[in-house]
Amino acid sequence: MIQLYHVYKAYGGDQHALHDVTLSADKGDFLFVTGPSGAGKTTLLKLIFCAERTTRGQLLVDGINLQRLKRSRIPYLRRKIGVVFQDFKLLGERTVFANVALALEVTGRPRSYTDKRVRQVLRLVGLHDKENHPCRRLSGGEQQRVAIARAVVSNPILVLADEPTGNLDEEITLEILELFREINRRGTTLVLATHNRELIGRIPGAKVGVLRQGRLVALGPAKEIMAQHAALEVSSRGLF
Amino acid sequence: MRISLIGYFLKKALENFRINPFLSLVTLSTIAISMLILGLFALIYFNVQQFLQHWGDELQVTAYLEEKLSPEEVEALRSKVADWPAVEKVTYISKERALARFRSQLREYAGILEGLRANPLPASLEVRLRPQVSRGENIEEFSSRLERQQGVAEVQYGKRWMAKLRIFVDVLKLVGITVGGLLLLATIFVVSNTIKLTYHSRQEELEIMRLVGATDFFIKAPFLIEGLLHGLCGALLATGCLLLLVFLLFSQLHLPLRLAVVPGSQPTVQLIAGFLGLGLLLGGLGSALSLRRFLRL
Repeated sequence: MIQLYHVYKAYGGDQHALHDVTLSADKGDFLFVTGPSGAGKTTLLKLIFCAERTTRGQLLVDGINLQRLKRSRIPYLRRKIGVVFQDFKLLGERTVFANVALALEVTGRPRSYTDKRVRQVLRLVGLHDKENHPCRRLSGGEQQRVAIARAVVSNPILVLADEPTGNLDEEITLEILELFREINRRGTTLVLATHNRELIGRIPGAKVGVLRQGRLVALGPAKEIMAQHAALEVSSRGLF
Repeated sequence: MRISLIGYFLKKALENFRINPFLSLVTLSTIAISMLILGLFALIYFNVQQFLQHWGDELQVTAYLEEKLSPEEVEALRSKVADWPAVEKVTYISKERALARFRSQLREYAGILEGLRANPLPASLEVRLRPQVSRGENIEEFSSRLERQQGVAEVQYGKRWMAKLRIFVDVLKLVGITVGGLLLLATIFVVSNTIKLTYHSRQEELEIMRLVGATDFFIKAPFLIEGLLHGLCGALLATGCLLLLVFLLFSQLHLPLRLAVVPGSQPTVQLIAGFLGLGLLLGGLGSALSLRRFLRL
């Protein structure tokens, strides 16, 4: 599904936001990208949905080489990918329904399909009774659910989430994580960037990539990575 | 493109109108006023032009005859002139008929002619020319030829009058094109600026649309439609005002001119179609300019 081969990303100057990153995620995988702030997690996600282009190296999504992807084809790639942003990126004055429907409207789907599908997804995230509420009146957790609903409404093959629980309390965080788990269980590949290691421990079958200063310092199943981290934590350094 | 998609774009374009109704109103008025001014120029130009043509068609050259001519000489001259290829018709107006006509033209002031002891008006030949001759410069040549004929005292036609009117039409055309051109250019920039401002007020939404997979076309289309609608509405408003003006001139003033903009007549339909087309073009150009300059996606 996602393959990165020796990917570099520099925003001008010598400093690399990503430095020689090689990793992959298969269809149906749940991949955590973790590491401290500024490690390059957000950059990695941005490269995957073409908000940024790689400086060097190869990046394939669903078999498409993104370096060769024409600018005019980017929208079609994005329709296969649902993105949940840390700051939600919702239109506060618009209703819950309108925010979710937007992702289908831009693809030119007929109104009847959009209505049906949006309601279906709002039921999945538990917001079906709030479809006419303006988003700005919702709590942080509810807004995050709207963002998730918008990300999955077009049946993407891949969902990217950037610190989706960053601003939420623990209880809501677990609810949101459960929602992602459900989406993944339905067959969607998930890439979740977080610095919260609690989350990683809760999805035992997940894959974890650890970034530090733009370099991939560890990659493997969640259990192994957590064990490595625990071992290193004894020496008061830790893995992340 | 599917009908539903066009409907969606139209809906979005109308939403853009609603985002800043005052701005939309100002833009619409600017287009309407510019086009109204241009329309007024065109109206006057077409009318004078048509009047000139009409007057030229019916142009008559009058040859005043010398007093001493006998009826035979007059008849000989009349038939000679009537045989010229440029001539359509020659009418002899005797001294008596000239006086009678003058009297009837004076109507209630005809009394001033009572004191006349002799008829001061000369007899004349009224020569109507074929249209192709009267329209061109040949008329001058024709009148000097007529003047050279035996028995002709003087030849008159509305030469100076027509020359002056022609100069007026030329000046009007030049001023109209210059002022109109500048106004239209300004209008394009006003539309472009309006589109830019609506774009800025929707920036957040457009950014999100881009992130969820909207194509450039999908994002730009409503702005293009918004510009076209501005142009069309402005043109409709200007056309309405012009038609109203023409209607008022017709019904209230009984102008002797043959106005080009007569409801239902051919030039009107063409003029309205041209006007609406121009409005669409202005709006389209304005938004295209904006989309090129500000919506670099």
